[in-house]
Amino acid sequence: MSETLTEPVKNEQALDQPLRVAGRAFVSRLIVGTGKYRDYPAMQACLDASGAEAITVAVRRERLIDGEGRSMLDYIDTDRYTILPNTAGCFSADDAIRVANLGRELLDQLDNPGKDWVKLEVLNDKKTLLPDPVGTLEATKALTDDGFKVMCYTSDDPVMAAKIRDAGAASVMPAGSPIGSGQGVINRNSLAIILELLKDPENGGDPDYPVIIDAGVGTASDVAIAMELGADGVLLNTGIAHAEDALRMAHAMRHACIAGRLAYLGGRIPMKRYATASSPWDGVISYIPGE
Amino acid sequence: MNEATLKVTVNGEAKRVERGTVRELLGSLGYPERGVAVERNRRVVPHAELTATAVAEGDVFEVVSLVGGG
Repeated sequence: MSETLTEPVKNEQALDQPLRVAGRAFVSRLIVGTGKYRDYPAMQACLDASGAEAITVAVRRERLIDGEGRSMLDYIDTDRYTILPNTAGCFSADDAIRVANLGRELLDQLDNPGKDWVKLEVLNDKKTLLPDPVGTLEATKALTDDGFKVMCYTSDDPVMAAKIRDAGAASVMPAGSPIGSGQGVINRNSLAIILELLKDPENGGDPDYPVIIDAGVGTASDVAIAMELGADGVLLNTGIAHAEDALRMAHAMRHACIAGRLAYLGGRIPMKRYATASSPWDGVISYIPGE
Repeated sequence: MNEATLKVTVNGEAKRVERGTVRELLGSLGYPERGVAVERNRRVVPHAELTATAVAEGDVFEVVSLVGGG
């Protein structure tokens, strides 16, 4: 936790420490996906507006070049962003490990710092897109042993979160709600337990271990809520890409992430049932002392 | 059976291709020099080894790129 501020800060960055994952520092705590955008220029503008320094991409059989001869990579500044290849669409540990290795090869060609990273998803089925916990754990172990920095998508189950951390994941990324559902954080209690288990030293946790809320974000307040709970970051895609005005929403998500984080560091007031006046009673006109 | 050609599978599709290197195979299928990763029989062929790796009968390839995703 940061020191309490006693003087005005001269720049925003003095308000917080960077997010650290596997030795890499990110000033922005927002990680965004690159899927589902209207076109590449829209994606490029939204990545920029989100403030994200890490972005996730998928690995597919499709050709890199679109009908107009443009590649997604023509719209991504590979010096600016850490690119996290994901294993979305994989339903077995074996497939996820293969895709991670293909992603590593693609990022190695780009000489991008994300080359040994993977956003691991081992899914159970297409309808729920919930993780297969057994396959997730197996792939986390195998990829970690192979030198990958594994950022691991999981459900909001605290037991699994701890097991994934123990398997060597660089970050555990519990879902706020189902992928692409826009339901936000539907089980604050589970996420709070995960954060306590993984980050609170009194519970065997490490305050520096990054827990990032991945999936389910529908709007800016969902990001703020996740960050206010004490998450180290939020990963989202559809919440921006499918917003009516994606570019405005990208700005909103950036602000929400900062707002939620600073509110967490600021320390919210306890909730009370009854009102507490903010203005003093003394000196109100017609006030009779002692009444 | 024409001995100059080999039966391989590329991205799930059976194909008959000329003998040669994996680099030549990719070129014949219209893939660009950069921006693709190749898996041959479930093992990645690093970019630097594409020219030195010969295609063999029955090889199974996956050829992939980065695309938008979350």
